[in-house]
Amino acid sequence: MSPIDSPAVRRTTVWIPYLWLAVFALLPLILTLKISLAQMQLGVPPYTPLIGADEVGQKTWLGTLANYKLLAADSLYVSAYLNSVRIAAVSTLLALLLGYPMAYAIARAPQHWRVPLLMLVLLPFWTSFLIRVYAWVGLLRPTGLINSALLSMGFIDTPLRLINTEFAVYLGMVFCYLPYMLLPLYARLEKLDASLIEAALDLGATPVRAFWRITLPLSLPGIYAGCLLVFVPAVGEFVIPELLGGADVLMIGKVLWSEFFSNRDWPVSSAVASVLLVILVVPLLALQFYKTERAP
Amino acid sequence: MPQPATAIEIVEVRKSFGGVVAVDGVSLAVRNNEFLALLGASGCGKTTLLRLMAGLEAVDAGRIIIAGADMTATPPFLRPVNLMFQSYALFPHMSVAENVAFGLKQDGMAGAELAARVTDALELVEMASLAKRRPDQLSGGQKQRVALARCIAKRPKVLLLDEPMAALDRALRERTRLELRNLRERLGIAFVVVTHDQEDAMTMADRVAVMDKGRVVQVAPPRELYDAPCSKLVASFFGESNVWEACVSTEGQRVDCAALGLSVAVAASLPAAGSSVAISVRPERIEFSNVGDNAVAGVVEDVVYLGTVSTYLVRAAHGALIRITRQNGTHPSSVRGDRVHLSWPASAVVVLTA
Repeated sequence: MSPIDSPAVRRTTVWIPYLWLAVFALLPLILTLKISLAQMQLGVPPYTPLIGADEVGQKTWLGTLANYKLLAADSLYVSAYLNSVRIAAVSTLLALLLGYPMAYAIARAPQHWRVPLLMLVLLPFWTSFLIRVYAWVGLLRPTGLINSALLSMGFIDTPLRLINTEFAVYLGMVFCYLPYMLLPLYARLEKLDASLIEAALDLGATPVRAFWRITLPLSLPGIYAGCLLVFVPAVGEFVIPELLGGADVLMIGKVLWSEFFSNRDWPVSSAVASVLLVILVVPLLALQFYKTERAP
Repeated sequence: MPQPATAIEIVEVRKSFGGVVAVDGVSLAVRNNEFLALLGASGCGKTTLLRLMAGLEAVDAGRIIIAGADMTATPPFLRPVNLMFQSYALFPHMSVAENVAFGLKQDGMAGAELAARVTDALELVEMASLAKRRPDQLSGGQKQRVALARCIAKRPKVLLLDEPMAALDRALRERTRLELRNLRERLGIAFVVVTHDQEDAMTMADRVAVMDKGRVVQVAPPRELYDAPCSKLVASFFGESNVWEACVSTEGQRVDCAALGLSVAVAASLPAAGSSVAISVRPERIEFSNVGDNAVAGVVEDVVYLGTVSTYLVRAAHGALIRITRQNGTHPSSVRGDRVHLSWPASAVVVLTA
């Protein structure tokens, strides 16, 4: 047995990802939860400890659910959450409707065309996310490229209101997250055995029927994966609603940002983040449940 | 309307893929109730020809007539033929019963009629007890039966089978060959099977079409192909054979064969003296004997024991390697290094001019 195969090495290797997750995922999560149970205070750190001494010097629990109660009571937070979920859901649906035909077309393209086509989809990713979103500002603002062009061609008299609308947010979301939808769909569709479609045709199904009965059901795992990969980051998205949505589009990412940076209220922003996490874990668990249900 | 005599008629069909010719002007008629095998090495165009019949490929030229109707331009879902794919192509997200029902549902069938037809088809292939299973819970042989049931449930005019035995082990192959033959008799429809295995073709088919380089070389019943192959290719592809180059002799009914160092007596009719031909002698027609129309001496180079028979490779004095198959027990078996005499009758010699 070579040293690299020794049980000790294998045991250690297995533990590395767990160690990584513990240090960089679990620990920050516990810290966030801990801060969300504290109260704001002036000082360093800017929140109260959870365990402190009372008047007689006895150790006592000082944690509170007040921050969570605030989130539930204040309609600003509730509507920000609901808005975020709605905007993320619509963006995910739009990305699916746009991404599926693209993924299908690339998967069915001749072999030597597939990689170049995928590269075209991924090409914008080589530019910074922030710059790509900011580029849309330049296109959409009242004096931007689109309005100037329409004005100079005489199609409109006054600039269209494009930026600082939900439309602009959807545009930004779909533009930025489309590859996350497209890649898992492509991976699934590319693996799809072409003889299954041929068998459906041979058995009397029209091409449209063959798509609905064979291609679509068999690409469901790709659809779930793509939707999750778009929905999860879209719910907590901050940059796109901030730059393209303006003050009118309220999303939880923006609320979180202002609680943390403007109000310097670490406990409330931690509570906001914790609730957001719960909202995002639900679809993940649902998918996991679906997978175990379907497994033979 | 009188029943057309042919199930499928293929007229001068051509198909090429990106400049590579796959089917090169094939004309072929599949008779009603016939079991026809398309036999050939891989890349000979036999699977393309089958896919052209199913409508999964479009012809470049020529016509395809199915049950008397020109269906050259008919899409696959409107053709009264069904194809069993080499990979079986069972729908992985459907149960066995749903797979079989799929084709019938496309015809608008539903309810009790649908259920009855599905059960009938599954019973025909003895798979009714596994109707609720999913394809990934089936063995290779079971998958094949489901694929078969899915095709025959549609009651096609012609059943097309692409290498149906390729994924089966030897014992299952032999059983399946017989079952397919029985099934064809019970259903009374034409079967067209693509295979590269001459044993498959020989045991199942009424007629075999041997294909080479996109062309049909010879179409005949198996016995005729075996006894009277029209070319060296057919002779060597269809069963084992000894094939030698020869030249038609000026003496009547003889050819001179340099490799054997012999003027070989031939019973079949011969082309003009001086023309070069090939002769083929089946290994089982050669005997260990020095009396006969044609006799040569040689040394046993190798013996392959095969149970009921043994194959002997004998090096003739002039260099030819002669293959002989003899039943074990009928002859005192020779061993390597033995000097032997071989003979075969003039009637055993097949003359190949192409």
